[in-house]
Amino acid sequence: MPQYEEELVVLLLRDIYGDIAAAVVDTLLKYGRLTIQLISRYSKLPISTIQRVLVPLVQNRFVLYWVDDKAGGDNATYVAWTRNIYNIVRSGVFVSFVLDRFPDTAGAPDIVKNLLLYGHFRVSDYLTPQLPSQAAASKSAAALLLQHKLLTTLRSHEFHPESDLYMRIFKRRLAAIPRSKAVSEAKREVQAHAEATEEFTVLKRIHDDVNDGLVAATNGSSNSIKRGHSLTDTSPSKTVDDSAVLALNHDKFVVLMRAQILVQLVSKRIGTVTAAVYRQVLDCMEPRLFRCVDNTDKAINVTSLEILRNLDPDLDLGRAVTEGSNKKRSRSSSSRASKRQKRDHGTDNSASESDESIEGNNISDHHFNEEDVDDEDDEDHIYDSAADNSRIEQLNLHLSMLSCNHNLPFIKRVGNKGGGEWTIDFDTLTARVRELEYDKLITQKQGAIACRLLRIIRDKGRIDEKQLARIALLPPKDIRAQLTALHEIGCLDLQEVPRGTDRAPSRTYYLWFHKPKSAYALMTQAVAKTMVRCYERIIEERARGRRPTIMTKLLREDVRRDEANMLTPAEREELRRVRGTEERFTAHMAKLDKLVLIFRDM
Amino acid sequence: MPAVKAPKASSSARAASQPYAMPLSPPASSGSSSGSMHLLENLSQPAQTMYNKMINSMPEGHIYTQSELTELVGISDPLRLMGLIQENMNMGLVKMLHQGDDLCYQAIKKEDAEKIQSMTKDEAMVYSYIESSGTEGIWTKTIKAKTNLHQSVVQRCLKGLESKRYIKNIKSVKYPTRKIYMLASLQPSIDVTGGPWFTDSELDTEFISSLLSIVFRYIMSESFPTEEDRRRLPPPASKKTNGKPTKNKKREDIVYDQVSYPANYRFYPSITQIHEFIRTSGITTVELAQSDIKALLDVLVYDGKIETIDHGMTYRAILGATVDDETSVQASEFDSIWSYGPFL
Repeated sequence: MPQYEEELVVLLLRDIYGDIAAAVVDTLLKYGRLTIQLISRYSKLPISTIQRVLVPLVQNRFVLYWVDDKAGGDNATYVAWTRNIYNIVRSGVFVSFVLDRFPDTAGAPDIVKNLLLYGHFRVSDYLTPQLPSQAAASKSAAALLLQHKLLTTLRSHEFHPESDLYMRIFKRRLAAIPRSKAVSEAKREVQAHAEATEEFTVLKRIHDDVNDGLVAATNGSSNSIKRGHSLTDTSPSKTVDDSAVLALNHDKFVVLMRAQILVQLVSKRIGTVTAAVYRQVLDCMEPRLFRCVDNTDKAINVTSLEILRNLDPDLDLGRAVTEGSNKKRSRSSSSRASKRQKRDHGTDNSASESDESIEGNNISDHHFNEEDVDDEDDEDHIYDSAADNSRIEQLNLHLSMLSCNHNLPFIKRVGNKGGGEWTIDFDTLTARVRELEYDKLITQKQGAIACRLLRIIRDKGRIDEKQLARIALLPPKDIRAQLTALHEIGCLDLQEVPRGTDRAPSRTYYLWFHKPKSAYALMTQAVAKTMVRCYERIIEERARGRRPTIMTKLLREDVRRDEANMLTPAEREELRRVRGTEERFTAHMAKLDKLVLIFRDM
Repeated sequence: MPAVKAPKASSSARAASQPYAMPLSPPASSGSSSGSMHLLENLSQPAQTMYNKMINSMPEGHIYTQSELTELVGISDPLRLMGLIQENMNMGLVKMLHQGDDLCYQAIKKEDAEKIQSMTKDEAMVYSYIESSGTEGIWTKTIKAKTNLHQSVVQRCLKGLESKRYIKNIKSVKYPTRKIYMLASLQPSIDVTGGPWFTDSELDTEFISSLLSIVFRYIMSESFPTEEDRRRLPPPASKKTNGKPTKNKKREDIVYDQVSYPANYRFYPSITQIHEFIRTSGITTVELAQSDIKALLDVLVYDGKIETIDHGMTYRAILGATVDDETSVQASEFDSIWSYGPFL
């Protein structure tokens, strides 16, 4: 039921682009693909208005158009692209992301904000109205963002709906395969489909090229795009192609958000130092990751040396891992022997009490006694070459901690060259992240018992109530209420297995099971519905604060510039309250958007 | 409990088809509950001797094969032996059973035999089935099916037996609606009462949850390095500000509050270790087997509090898990999603 997503989308448009835009998109969503005349007929708006309003919509690629060659005339049909309109919600996060990542690049946030406003622009158009100093800064900022693929170039085909593009390619391919008696129609079509899919995939990945939108600066010609594969080529000799058209790359944004979520998870599950290491791993992989759901078979490997090279040199890797005293190891020094006794009367503290800054001595298993002294010295000389060895061992220790957990395989070791080759299996990892997130939601709504039951059912496949009660060590009466509640929210489903030929309820087995995809889909819809309500509330608060006079007063330029003096204390208070509410709701929407990202986009 | 099968109907014409056959020639004083000697008195001298020998020479409940009996009484003539056995059986003092293909005999205590004699035929039949079910107990419907008696008859017998306190009614854990009967003297088997988790046929949730938290705390204490471990580590390297500009100046300083064991740490607690801990701690008087501990650990895994290492060889607590299921600060974060009533 994309119903709530569509509602949200229309709401967003109404707020930002106005009622007419919202009405047009609403019509398009209701009826599908329409020509302008039809839009006018269904929405009861005059054609000229629609034409005017379609301009920003097409510019932002909220509405895609298609001109059918055969139909003749320029009867263009329009389709609304919900996903892209939804991305408006993410605009704030996008800007703050850019600010975080490139704090020194002056022109970067401006570029992003302008792109959010205009949808896309040509580089030359952007640079011309600026002062020369600004222009230089903008140029380098654009080059940087392009290299990181947060921006991409737009080609003309990206204004068309994907299905039409595919059909065109397919028809062309079909025509190219000669008819012959030997090959049947069906076979021709199959082959055409295969070729078309291939070509289409290449077309979609056209931005994956490293030098997309960039040209060599020394060389003046704008069309020399080298097919280079070196990823470390961030030399200043590359600059933006003036004739390129830029747009925001939301796919890459999702990749970066995913990295952030994973790092947060590591930080929670293992620790902060390992999380820093993991972030570095993801950063090393990032240039080769273009979108989250990537169907290529190539796995991306990173070597330990590469990670080590890019790791923040101030990061003290040794401070987090300890062997711990234990009875099986021989101790050379007395301090450790006494340590062993102290540990035996184990303390009851949970790991969350480890708040003081802790010193770490990290020693790998078999090097224990010999390297002991060396490591102590090496801690102080991090840049010694001898120390480098132990640092890579420390790094490998953290990486192996990330890979040892079978329930949450953050990373996987695949080889030995370069100090150790590692890869990340994103599919399993994100599936697991989704499970954890969903568990968290269910716990918040239904309670811990329900979550226990869900996990058991997930583990066992299909299971009946009695078995469930036995495994969960809970009385059957209590369980039943929880199960029905979970059933109502779409988390669980029932399978009937009749015992006899009749379907009497007393003579059938009822097995509970959990289907992740449908459960998540149902939940995402609820999230969309919540976002709709949230946003409506924001609009309401903004439009009709308690005192409309404040809002109109704020529209004045002089007031806006100098709020501190131009407003009375009461007005300021009122303003603070209204702004605070708006902020709260916007922050809430961002959290909900994160959920959508995890379940739909990741 | 000796391994006896329920006495099957003997195919041969001789001997009793029902375990407690009424005497073929009713003694003059049947129906009255006189002293136990009374039964013996009705036997001939050799039969009495045989019976006494059977009772006294072997521990109670011992099953005699025919050859053993021959040896016992010293009478090798099978016919005569049979006669003596028959006499005892008539008085209900000896019971015949199947053991595999052979017939064998068991001596019944005089009190028990008295009991049987004083019952009616139906009651005796019902009693025998209940007795044969041992510690498992038997369901009324099964009694009805096996004895082929009418429901009301069965009920009457059961009531009579219960009033005489020969049998008792227990509640099963698996089938709470069934009426299960067993001999008053016996203790119900684990199967029926459900094991250590059940008290009075009810799941003892408090006991379980307290055990769960104890086990969890123990595992938690073994999963992460303790205070002492931390303190022995050398002091942090002083942050060097070298000439090279670091790439990300504005990255927040990391809070060094992580302490973990390395990936190859082998000393997380295993089931045996945990079992030992529970046993020696004396938390509970109930005896817990390793399988019970495993059940507890599974529940903790399903609660998301611990995880298995090496596919179940050892267990480790999950960082951030708490003993109680208190909802964290984050909990209210998504309340709004759910406040719009049941979904869609």
